[in-house]
Amino acid sequence: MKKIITGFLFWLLLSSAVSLLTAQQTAPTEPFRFQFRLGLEAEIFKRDITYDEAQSTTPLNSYFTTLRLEAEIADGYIFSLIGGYASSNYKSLIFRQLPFSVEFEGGGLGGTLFGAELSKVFPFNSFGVGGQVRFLSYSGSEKKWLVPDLAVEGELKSTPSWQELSAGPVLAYLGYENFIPFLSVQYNYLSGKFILRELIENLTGEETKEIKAKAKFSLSACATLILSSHLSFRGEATYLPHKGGSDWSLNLRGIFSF
Amino acid sequence: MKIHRYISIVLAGTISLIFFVGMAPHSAQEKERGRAELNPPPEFLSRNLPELNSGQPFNPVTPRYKEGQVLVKFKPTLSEAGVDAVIALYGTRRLKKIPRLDVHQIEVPASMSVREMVELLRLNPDVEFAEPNGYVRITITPNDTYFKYQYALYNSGQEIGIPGSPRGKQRADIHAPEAWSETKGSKDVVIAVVDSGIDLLHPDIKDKLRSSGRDLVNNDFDATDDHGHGTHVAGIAAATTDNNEGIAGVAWNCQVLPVKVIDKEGSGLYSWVAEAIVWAADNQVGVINLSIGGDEPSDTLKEALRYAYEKNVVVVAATGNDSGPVLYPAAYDGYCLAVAATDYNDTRPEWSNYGPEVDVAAPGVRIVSLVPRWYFGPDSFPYGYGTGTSMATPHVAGLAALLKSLKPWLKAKEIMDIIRYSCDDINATQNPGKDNFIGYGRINMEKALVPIKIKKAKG
Repeated sequence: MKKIITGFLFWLLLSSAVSLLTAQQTAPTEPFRFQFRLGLEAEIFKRDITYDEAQSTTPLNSYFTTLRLEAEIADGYIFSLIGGYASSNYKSLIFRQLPFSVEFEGGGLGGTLFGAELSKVFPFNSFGVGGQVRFLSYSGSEKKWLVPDLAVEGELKSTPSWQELSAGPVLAYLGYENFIPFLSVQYNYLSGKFILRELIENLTGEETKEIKAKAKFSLSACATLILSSHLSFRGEATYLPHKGGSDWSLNLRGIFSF
Repeated sequence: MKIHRYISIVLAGTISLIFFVGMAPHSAQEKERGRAELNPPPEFLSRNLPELNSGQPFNPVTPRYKEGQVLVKFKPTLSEAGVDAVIALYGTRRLKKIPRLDVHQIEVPASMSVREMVELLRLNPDVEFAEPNGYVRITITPNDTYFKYQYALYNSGQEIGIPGSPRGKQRADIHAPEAWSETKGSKDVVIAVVDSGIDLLHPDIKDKLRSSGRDLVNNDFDATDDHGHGTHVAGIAAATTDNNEGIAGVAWNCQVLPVKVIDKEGSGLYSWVAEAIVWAADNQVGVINLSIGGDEPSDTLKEALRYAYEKNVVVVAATGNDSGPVLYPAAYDGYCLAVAATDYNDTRPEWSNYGPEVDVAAPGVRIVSLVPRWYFGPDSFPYGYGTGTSMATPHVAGLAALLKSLKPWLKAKEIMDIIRYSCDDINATQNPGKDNFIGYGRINMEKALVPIKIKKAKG
């Protein structure tokens, strides 16, 4: 998997360099100006995940609300730091390695989400060609659960986490004045862990589920609406097909420029 | 030498007493009933009763399908409005639509039967299929002929024997069918039945035997049962199941290893028992069933139990049947599970021994199981009822074997704790929590084996 990601990123770098050279031949260069932007972002997604070495499947429904700090770190290169609250619902995970097996249907589990994004679009006549890489890391808070219906009291502690890396080329249309539609095909890799600890009197156990999303590629349709020189909105709908089904995500973001 | 002989006789007498106590009831009234129990129930003697000899799988008495409604799916070319129009055309109404399948549950007009409605709908070119709304039943019900008498495994409130027998309380059982959906056990897990041996050619267990076992009474390797108790106990734990005959064992797929320590008069020595435990533990068994016990404490027995425990073998032992303190070896609580008895109403029979050593309870009243083929005479059915903590214990042994099969990495202590903590506290109104009579409660195989659902708390 690492080879695929490395290869893909290398290809992305190469394509960006080619785009850059092409753009430099066709577009006049503008002086670089360091700029900060602050954004508010919300995303909701559904991903089918596998666990137990791909033997079992369950949907992962997640949403997050984050603050985003964007900076143009070089000419046209936009780097963003992302941080906020996220909730992930694993629907149903079955833990059979614990002394008492557990079917976990605990609903949404709150936690923190941090991440970063790097993007660049090179103008080429009315079009823009570039790339985007985003990394997100969700770390769920430890939560306690009472084990019901036993002859003694017992509790479980859940600790979920996942990471997502997405990267791919972007094609934008720059012909409108305040509206930029664009398409993106991305490699998308989501994996994580769900740790469940069991404590029932003197019985203890811990089981970790390694999870992986089934979908590996996505197709996104996005649009940015520039309301003023200080305020813009962006929406993105993503479709992630995979064997036996499909996933989706929706992302909305407002960006304030200083 | 004489002293040793004297002690042996006393101990043998004690074990035989316990043994008989395990098989036979105590009060005069119970003795009377016991005569009937030790004899085969009439249906077992009469091969002419078709309902018992038909070999048909057990089926709950439910209709095949629900009256008054059918399921229908229309072709995708028909719009939703079109579907409504067609349904209205038949003078009926839609009760429900199954999401994603686009199958409609529709009412059958009073003038028509379900079959007529289905046939009528099938003639309609817009209909993809139409069918009755059938009933399902619990899927893992073994097809063994006498499963319906095994209230201990699944108690539907049925009569527990021949017509006129007492009725059980619904779900006063160990929830076996639910647990079998999780595991039916592994043939790699062996239950040693340390008892009077087993009828090695009994048709309902011969295929489950790992070998002809060990006979400590006659010091050979042919643990043939010349008494009857061991065969009955072994059948409860692991009779051949889902074979269209006889009874179901708790541990469907697990194997049995007979170890004979009780002679044909029903007595055995502690030394034989201790040696049997060690021999079984050395022969890679996962569980040892001891439906035997004596009044005297014994370090030999305790050492044997510790040996097995340290080899990760789960030992289960009967508490005894004389309303007294828990017998040995069951009283060696740290190394074995001490099993008391309950009945078909989830109550504890008075004769079940009690004390702080009691860990759990299981059904032990009028339990149907195997008897040796010679037991009731030539050509008799080799099945009969038994009562006592001897009969309760193999239910727990079977559960331990299923747990071992499902989670072979667990230590003996962990398996014992799972069995304890998963009990139903059936006497909670009088004695909440662990008590001296049934310990943590009557075992519940479903809770021990099937994943516990953890759901988001409402509100």
